[in-house]
Amino acid sequence: MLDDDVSLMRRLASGDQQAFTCLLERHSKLVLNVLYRIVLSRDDAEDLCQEVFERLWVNAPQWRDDAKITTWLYRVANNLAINFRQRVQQRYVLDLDESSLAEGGVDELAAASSPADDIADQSLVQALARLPENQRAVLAFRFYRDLPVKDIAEIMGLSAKAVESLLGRAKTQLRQNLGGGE
Amino acid sequence: MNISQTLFGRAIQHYGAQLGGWPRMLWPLLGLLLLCSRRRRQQWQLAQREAEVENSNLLQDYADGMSELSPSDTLQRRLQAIAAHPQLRSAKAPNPLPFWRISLASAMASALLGLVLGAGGMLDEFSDSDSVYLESAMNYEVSNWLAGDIQ
Repeated sequence: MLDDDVSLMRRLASGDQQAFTCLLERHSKLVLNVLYRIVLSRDDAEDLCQEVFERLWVNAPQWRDDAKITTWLYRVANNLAINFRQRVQQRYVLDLDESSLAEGGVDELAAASSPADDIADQSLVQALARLPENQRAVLAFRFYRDLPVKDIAEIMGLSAKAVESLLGRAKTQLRQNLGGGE
Repeated sequence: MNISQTLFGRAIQHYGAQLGGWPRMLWPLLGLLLLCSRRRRQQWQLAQREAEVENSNLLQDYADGMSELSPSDTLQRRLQAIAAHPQLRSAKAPNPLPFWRISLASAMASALLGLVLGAGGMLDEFSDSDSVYLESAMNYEVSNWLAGDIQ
């Protein structure tokens, strides 16, 4: 019989590696795909996915039984993905001196965060790349995971009204970016 | 196309074909308009159908354009290696008492203190100041006082 997430989390809290493997098999693919739809790069999504599960493992002993693991995973994934660009930019600003920035550092930064990936429709990826991260996140949760607005609100720490508004803006903007807008 | 149709069309274009997208203060006006005018109702329903089609097309584009990724072997190895790290174990704080229990304990302690203090007072001898008697010769006659005879 398959264990449910609650019992797996109880076992994980006591350091059970088998429970962690079960949770990875169950959730890693979904988390990876949500992250990919926000950061639009497979490599970055994999790095962030690893970070999400590291946090799950490290913080498991403090787990509360009333928490839902998917909501927790998506919330951490969303926060990491939304802060990702800022972290990348900060890293580049620290790494590159002023002269290299003037000569081509900005191009290097753009190349590093470019959404090139051979398994996605490039026009859609480019259209998504022109959206802010929070709009890409709300589209991922609504369109990819098919989550209700109430759950998305809990994940993103917003009100249901704010999520509806964000989703509306994201859809309009995406439609325009795809060339079908008014 | 008359002016009301044009204005309503622009409003739909601006706020969308879902009531939630419209400002709350316009809801009564929109309701009244849809209730009273068959043409505006048809216009609204048409806009809703178009929005639904656009929405499903967008959803389809999104689903088709973004393929489902599977975790690479490298990622799987990295994820499995996480379990080698130590977990964050902090000393568990004792469970805090529920609020009603704290309130009940405070009330019982107050009552007990009151009993102790009261019982202690009963054992003492009466002092002079405790011997008070009532002046029963007083009356309610105030006419003299009103006339100014008594200060």
